[in-house]
Amino acid sequence: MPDFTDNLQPASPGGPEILAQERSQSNVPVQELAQHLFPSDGFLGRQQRILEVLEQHPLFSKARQLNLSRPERYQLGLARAKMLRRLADQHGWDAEEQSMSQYLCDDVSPYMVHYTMFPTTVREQGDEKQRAYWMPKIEAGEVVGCYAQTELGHGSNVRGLECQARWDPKTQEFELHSPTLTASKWWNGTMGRTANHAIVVAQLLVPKSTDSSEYANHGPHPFIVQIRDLKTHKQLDGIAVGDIGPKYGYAPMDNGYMLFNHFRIPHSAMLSNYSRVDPNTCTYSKPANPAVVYGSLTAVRASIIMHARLVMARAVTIAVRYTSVRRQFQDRDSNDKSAPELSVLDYPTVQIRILPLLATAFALHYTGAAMQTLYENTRAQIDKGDFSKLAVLHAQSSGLKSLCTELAANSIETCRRAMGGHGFGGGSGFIQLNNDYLSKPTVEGDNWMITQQTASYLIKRMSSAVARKGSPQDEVEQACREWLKNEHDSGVPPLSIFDSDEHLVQAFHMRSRDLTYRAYVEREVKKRSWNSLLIQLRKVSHAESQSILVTNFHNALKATNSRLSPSLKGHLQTVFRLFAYYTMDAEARDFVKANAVSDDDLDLLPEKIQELMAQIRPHAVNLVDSWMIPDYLLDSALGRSDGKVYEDLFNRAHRLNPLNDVTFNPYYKSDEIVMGQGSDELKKIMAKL
Amino acid sequence: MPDFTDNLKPASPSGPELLAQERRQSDVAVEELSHHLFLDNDFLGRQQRILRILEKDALFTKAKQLNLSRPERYQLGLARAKKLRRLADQHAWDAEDQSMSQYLCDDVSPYMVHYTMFPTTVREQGDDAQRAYWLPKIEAGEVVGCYAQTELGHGSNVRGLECEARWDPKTREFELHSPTLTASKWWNGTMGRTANHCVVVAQLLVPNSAGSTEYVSHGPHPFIVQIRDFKTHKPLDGIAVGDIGPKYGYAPMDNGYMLFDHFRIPHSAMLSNYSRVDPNTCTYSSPANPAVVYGSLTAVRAAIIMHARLVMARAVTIAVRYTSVRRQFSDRDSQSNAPELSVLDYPTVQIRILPLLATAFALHYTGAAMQKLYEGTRAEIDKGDFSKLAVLHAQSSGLKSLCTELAADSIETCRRAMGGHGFGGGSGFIQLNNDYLSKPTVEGDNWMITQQTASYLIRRMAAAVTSKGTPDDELERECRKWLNEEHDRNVSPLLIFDSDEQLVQAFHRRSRESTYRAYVEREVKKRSWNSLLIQLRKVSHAESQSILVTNFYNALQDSSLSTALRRHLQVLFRLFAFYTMDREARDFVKANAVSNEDLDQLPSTIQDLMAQTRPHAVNLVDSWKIPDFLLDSALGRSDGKVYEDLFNRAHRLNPLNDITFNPYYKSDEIIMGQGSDELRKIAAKL
Repeated sequence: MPDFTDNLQPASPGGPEILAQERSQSNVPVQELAQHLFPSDGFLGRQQRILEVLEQHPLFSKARQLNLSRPERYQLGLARAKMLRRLADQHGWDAEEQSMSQYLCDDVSPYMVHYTMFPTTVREQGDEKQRAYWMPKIEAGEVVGCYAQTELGHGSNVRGLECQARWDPKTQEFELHSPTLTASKWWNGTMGRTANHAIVVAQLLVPKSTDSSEYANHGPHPFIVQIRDLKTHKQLDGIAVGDIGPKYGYAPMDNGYMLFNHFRIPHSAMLSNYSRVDPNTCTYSKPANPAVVYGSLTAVRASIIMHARLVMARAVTIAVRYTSVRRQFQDRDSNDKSAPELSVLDYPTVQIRILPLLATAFALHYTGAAMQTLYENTRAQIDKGDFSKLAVLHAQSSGLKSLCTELAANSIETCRRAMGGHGFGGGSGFIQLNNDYLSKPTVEGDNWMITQQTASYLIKRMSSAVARKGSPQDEVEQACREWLKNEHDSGVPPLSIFDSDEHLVQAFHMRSRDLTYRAYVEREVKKRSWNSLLIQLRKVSHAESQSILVTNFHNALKATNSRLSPSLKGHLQTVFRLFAYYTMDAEARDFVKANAVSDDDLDLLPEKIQELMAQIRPHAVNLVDSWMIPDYLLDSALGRSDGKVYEDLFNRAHRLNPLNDVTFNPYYKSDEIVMGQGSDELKKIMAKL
Repeated sequence: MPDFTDNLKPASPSGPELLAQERRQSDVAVEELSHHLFLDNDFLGRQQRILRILEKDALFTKAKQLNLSRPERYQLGLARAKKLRRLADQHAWDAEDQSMSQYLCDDVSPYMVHYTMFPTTVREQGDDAQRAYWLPKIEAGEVVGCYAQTELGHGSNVRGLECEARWDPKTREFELHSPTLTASKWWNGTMGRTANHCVVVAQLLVPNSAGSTEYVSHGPHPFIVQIRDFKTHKPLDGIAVGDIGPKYGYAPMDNGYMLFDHFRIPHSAMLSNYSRVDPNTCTYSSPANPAVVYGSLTAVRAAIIMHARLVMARAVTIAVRYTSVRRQFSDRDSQSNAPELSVLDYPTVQIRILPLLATAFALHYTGAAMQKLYEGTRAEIDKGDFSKLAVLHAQSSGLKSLCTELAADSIETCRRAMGGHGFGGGSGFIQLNNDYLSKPTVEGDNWMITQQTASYLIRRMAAAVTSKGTPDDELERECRKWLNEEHDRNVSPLLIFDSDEQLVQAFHRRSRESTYRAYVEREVKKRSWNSLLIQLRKVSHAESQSILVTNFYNALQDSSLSTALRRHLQVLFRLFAFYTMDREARDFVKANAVSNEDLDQLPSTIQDLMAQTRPHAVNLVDSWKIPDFLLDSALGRSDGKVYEDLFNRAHRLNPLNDITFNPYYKSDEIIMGQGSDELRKIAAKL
């Protein structure tokens, strides 16, 4: 409906003008940097290709989806998931193209587990016959599967699961049973409404001998189980399964619960690539090497880091563009009363929240990439059953998952607040991003739990280094030995972090070694209890993870020496130093105590950080442009690449908001809610409570 | 529908057993402590009274509300707001009863601004005739009002507002006009769909003289304006007004936008208690004292702190109860058959939750002290003497910034400490978090307003350095004392572990030092203001932390506390102080307030204090008396039936489970047996 607002323009300078100015003032070559970040694996081409398909399809329009209820979001999510799968068939999309389509659609797909953990488990844990039977049905979408491990009462402690699979030698069946309410499967994605099959992880109970009534518990094992009828999609008798209800995010995903009431499944349901129960003798045989699953877990964690960096890049892209366009207050010290207002990104109090995160996105990128390369290089050994190199990689990956998802999750809220009031609105593009991503710190290994794995590994290596028997077992032990010999208690002067980037990196190494050594003394020498050290152990893990992030960032700039243009390399070095100094400043006392950095140098950090931010400020828009996050994915008025912030905010409010189609009755004495409709609406709403 | 799950129980020990054990093992006197916390205004009696009414009214059931869409939440919010107002009439609730009913209902009411900023502004800014005309209509709910200051393009910088009110001496009207899109009013609560009137803040433009075509801008002024028709509730011609759409939280609130197209309003629309335009001469007269509005702002900020402490207490109540009930892993150093530990027994869980429990108390004592101070200076303010208010106002900016930051962060910290279940709707955190996240950026952006505190502190320090005559206020006196006795002298670091006085003193010393360094940069080295902003925020936070620690310490000197309770509160005081100190330890060394060796001891001291607090944690949160109705949390239920409630919400209350879907990708059908109808309905909403 046309009205007088149609002709209004925002006050000048307009957003497009301002962003054009930002872009022209910087010599950061956006295309070169984008090619550097997304080199040869075709990411950008794929993104462009899939984007064109989705953007022209009304089902993938995001304009009003924040107005849908959670039940509607599941329905929309299912409709989109089906459509994406049909598009994949139609366009012949490969696995990477399919996951790109999900990334751009930005719904957590109700099919997610059907595409990931479900087939992966069948492939890795199923024997040849099971794979041959199930994989084609899964691929065809006749079998829609999920993965049910976590229960209402147990998550991190997998050994504590209560669901039982009891082998009955008489009927040659397993009986799945949930003896308590806490035994209910819980949180399992794709299970609540979508799947007709599930991998159920249950305690395997086998009679001690064929005719014994005593059972031995062999711990948690995976079983593949049909849970719903293939025609009616109703749950099978003896199963109670459903969706657990609304959550912070993941609206389109049907995280589920499931209980079994003496539910019987055949012998072939137990996935038997490694462990098996002989149906005749009741003999249980188990895997030779329990490290067998570390491989795919490490790969998953490398991809979690690569995902975290894109999440940060997305948050920072929006924040940098909006705070460049947004202006507020003239310079307080300026005498010119007609001076234009400053971009809020010109204020150091805005910079200190956004620019270190911009730097962190790069830090995560280089470490995620390094982890993937390392994993691929050790892949051959892993496939041969040699897990020696994997152990370090796995230990590192726990700490990195913890630190990187924490950094990414916090970055969203930090950027939101830096954007002031408009950050709270739907036009920020942060609501779904935040609500979905906030799951990461507590899933796939709780961030505060899994740092124990990293710390435990580091302490073991430090113990060996102190004992000093034979040659070092791995690189970490080698480094510990060198630190003990050359740096520990040896009265070396602190490093010159401002003179040399190598020294800066070295300072992070020294601080990590020092913290590991202190924890080693507490645990191994003073014999303190493990639980009393947990807070300290987390610091040990984070110190090592930070050291890895700084090292990989530094190495990446050295390694690409020949390929990066000198000007781009200069910019990335500034970004590197900002990340390193900012990280150091937040934990400064550690570095003094490790004798890595002098107190005087630490005093200078805030000023150095402010200088680096001032250097980066003019290039901030080009630096975020280089991440090439499409407007379609951003779905943000504030972060639009064309800078039309206010036009878009107004459009969403005035033209796209369904609430404005309704006129209400505001008078409290009347029960009527919608003007002229009597009390009908009230009754409808009441029925939903 | 009965099924086999009806008879299932959670694994033992059960939640009720565990909480009973927690409550037995503690000698914290819950009733005494809650009486100590809520001695004013019969808060607890009121809470109980209103609760009984709301709990039995079906409209206030929260069980399924997370499943409603945002448009439905507004409708529900409006229905509830009307009902609360009718209940107020029926039960003759006073203002405090009414705000208790809104607090317990936990909806941000679409009437909110109609009850607060709108009548406050009419009362304070309107002249006698305007008050007499408007207030009865407002009270009767015929006039439903909102307050429109913030615009699309300007929030913090009020002088930059673009909306204009131009006086036309010929027609004797003001013309309201929005010259640009960014001049649109934006964010203003109650405006989007609910209000029929509005206080509009606009740049007042008045002709130089009655016959002149040149206009002078006198800055932003408030006008009371009808915006919608009384009968049809449609916007009046020349006005475009609506709701801005979904936000993080505040779903039931219709934050709005509004633009004017040469919209004319009478002379009487300008609220004229202080400023006025003479309609005949075009003469503008302005207020004598611009500090006139600081009073209510300071009161609002004290209320913000008191609210922040209840938000923290609510988050911590849920987290403490759930992590007491939740068990995971047996002790790694013990035999394999040992029972699993409560997750609250892990120091990594304690370090996230227990310092926040202590912080809720810290906020409480400072909020209460601020309210008392404000009431104490009220008489002077009413007489036009604002001298004491200046300190109070400066402090209140920094405290608003720090306290709302602490409270907002506490929700997410507690949520993560609860692990996976924290992410679910049964946590009771979703709406709390989504609503509260607005606080760090509204009513003064948290990173902006610390400048006011720092600026004031630097001025007092500058005056203390000059040391002319007697000090202006207490703050200057303290600065002088610090300059004379502590600054640059070889005073020894304070003995923070030996004496709580010295612990408090350490915070003072660190704040003075931090102010002094900023003073040197700004006043001596003449550095630019903007280059110091990060440092100025630290100055403000250091002072606010010092105030929090001081008020907490002073409150414990209250002789009415029993010895046992005082001891528990002392542990919390130390936990708050040491935890705060540990996070900014280098500051305290640089201020020569605490020795490096003592700072090294902080982590183990904090861990000791947490171990002392741990057995009393459930009783300590119980003392805040947050009702289950408000918590709306399976995890935080006072009876400990965590798993039963989670399961009930999923299996019996989740509307999604009433529907069977078609999961096969080749079919367009979404709901089994319904063809492609549903898909079309959903697609129509996109």
